[in-house]
Amino acid sequence: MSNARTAEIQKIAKDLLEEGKVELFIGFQEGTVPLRSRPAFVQAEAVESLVWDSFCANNLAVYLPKYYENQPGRRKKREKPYPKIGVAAKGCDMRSIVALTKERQVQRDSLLVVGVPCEGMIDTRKVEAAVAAKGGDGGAAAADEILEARETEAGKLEVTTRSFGVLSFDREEVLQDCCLECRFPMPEGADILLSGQARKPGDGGYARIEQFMKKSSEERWDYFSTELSRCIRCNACRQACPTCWCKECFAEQTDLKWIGVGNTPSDAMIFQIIRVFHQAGRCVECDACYRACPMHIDLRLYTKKIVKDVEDIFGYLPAFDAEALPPLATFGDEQCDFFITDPDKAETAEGTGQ
Amino acid sequence: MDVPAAKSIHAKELLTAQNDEWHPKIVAFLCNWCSYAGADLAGVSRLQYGPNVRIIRVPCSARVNPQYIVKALQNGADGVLVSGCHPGDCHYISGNLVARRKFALTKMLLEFVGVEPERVQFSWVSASEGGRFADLMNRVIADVRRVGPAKRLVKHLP
Amino acid sequence: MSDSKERTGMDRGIIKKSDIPKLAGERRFFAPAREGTVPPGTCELQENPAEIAYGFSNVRAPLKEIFFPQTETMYTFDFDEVTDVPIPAEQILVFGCRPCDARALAQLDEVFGPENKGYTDPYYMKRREGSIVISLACSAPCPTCFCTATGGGPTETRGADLVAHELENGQAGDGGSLLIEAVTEKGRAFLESHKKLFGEASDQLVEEIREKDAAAVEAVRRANELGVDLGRQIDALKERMDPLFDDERWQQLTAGCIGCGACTYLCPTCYCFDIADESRMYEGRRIRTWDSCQFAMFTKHASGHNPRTNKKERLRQRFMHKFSYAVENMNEVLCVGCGRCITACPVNLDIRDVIRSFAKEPSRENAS
Repeated sequence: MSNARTAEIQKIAKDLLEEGKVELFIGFQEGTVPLRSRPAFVQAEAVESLVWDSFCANNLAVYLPKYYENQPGRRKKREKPYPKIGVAAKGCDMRSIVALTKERQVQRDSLLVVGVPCEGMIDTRKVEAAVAAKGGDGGAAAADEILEARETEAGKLEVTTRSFGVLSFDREEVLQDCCLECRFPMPEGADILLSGQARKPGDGGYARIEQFMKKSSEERWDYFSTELSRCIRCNACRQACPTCWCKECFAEQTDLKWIGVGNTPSDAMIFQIIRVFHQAGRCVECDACYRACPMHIDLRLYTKKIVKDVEDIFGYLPAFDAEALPPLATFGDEQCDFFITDPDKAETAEGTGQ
Repeated sequence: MDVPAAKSIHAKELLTAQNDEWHPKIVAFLCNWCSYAGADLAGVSRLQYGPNVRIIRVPCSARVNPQYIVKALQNGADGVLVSGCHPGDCHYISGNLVARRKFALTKMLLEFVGVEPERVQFSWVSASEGGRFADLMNRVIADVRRVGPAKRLVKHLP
Repeated sequence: MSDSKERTGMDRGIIKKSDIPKLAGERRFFAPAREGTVPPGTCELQENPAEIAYGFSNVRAPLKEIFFPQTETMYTFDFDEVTDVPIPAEQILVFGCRPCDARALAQLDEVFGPENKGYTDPYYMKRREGSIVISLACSAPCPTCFCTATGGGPTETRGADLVAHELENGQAGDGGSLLIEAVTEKGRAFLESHKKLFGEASDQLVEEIREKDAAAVEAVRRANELGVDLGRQIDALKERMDPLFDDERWQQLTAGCIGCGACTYLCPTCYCFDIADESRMYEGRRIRTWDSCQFAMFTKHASGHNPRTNKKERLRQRFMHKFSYAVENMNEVLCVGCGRCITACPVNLDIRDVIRSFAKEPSRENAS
């Protein structure tokens, strides 16, 4: 499985580089810690380092805007041609690339996408939690228990631990939630497609949002403020996100200071509220923000909320159509006055209940 | 719940609230061409509504960035109202239609994180609807009074 | 009791794990725990935990959070009236940090303390002066530890006032005890003032512990295979690192970085900060917050010029600071090998790769 894909991607990258179709290939190489493969930027001599396995969770689209950016204050049209970049893309990566194309951050013509029909990526945290559970209360810190992890041909994950021997998991047990819920595991529109099947699409996982909405306002606030109390304002969530590409983030503006830079709870919470809002119509739920957060904050609940709202109200989902207008750049004939306060109606403002 | 007509319930609350210690502070973003004019009409018609509103005039409801709403809450506003022209009547043709999309998402997201839904409200008021504006104000003030002083997103400085 | 060599206070003793909270007395007490919102499989230094956790490799956040908080108010102002915020002269007891974190604290002491060209940072030092640090020696370091490569070790004592070792079953009876040994005068006085809680530790026990320590040091050396001890190569580093600034290898080493700043925020020895005013009309406060050299705005000048425009330059700065500039200015390798940057990095950028790369002879021809 992963060996075949590794060989295939090495071959494709090698051909592309040697034929001069791309100057640089962005893929994955083996990581230095178990359960991780990490982004690799290879030229022809280094293609042997490329791998493809179930630890390739990063969204590689995050690296692309930099290759296509123009100098600030540039007046003349760009003279140098855009670099020819090859990139490996799962379904979510491809959707991010489409979103970036729409926003003119990536020049699709000079980007060569090698699509990988995605079988889902393993969730490091789920594996760590499972290992921690073995130890019972006061179990060892799981991250250090795990010495090695490898995938078997039979679709299992074998984890060698310090104290509990070799543990075996079914892939499905330890896949990332975003992969279990993913509706677009196949990267449509890729220039080259790796062989093999993508996993069956999931259902989007909106049930969790619906359940959460049934809680009272106080309960929802408790959860939000408790989760965000851990925020240290490291900005990893923002940096990991492919569609957070602004040169100056609203959080760093000083001539109009929206929020402070410290971890005052109000600032941390507003940072997330606005960051998530800015992802409306653009978030592909790759969970890069969620994985990047060193404090394990439950960001994916909120990104999923904005994705669900955009789909429910405007019928829009950022997928593979580069021509579809972003939802906040246009308007439709939808009847979405449900949230409007009408003083002529007797009911009180009980909220949208959505 | 037996709910009497909106107008009288708000007037009643207005009268009983005069002796309270805390009075809501509401920031209202009104679009220049419709809602602000409607507010002005309420004024010249001497229609009574609570003194709890601070109005900010914007050219169009589309000018209202969700960051303004959240910033107002952070600075201690107990409630935020954004009001524009009725859909289809925008002075800039379609500003309020795009804005409506932003506002729907903003309201739902804020509710989802646990900000009380009564605090952030949106409405359409036209230039000729002085009475409606007064009713809207009274309604929003009553709603905010019911949920009490804002605590959740407030940043205390110093 | 004390192996009296004309020192005041007590040298060492055995204490039951359950008695550790009693050492706190009036002090603010921090110990590793797993309560509340701590993610499964991790633990963190919490204040007054109901149950102290053992059996972990390291806590999530280093000690700097206690002495150098993420956000701290320096003073408040109202129009033209400035009110200093009194720095709490706190008495703090930290138990259970690892030797690497204690050593990091010693390095931060050099930055914030009077050794640093005579200027003392009052916000940090006031808390630090009243603190007692009891570190917990490591017996089973984790795969990402490399303390021995940076001049430290899993059992070293620098930075701690006292060092604790967990005792196994058979040593001191019940397996629920610790051997605590004093390192500093402060530590000795602390033990002396709590001597009722301590039992005697035999020389033989101490010898067994020292053997275990040696085994732990070997274990780390084997695990990290970096083959260097930068702590012993201070002079060589001074000479070697400077020309590496222009080395070609930086490009490939830093290509994956997304500039997120998690490494700097979780690093026990990173100390860069920002000072900002927050105000509303005429009232406000001046705060000090953490800042990161990995943020694009970190080096942006008021003129608009930014000397470090890309992430290669920023990430290079981080490594040069730790392995070159600090070595030149402070004779310290500003890295304790705790490995947090490795586990926190979303793209698995590994500081050990950097060390390995440059532990070879520096060369401009080396293209990764």
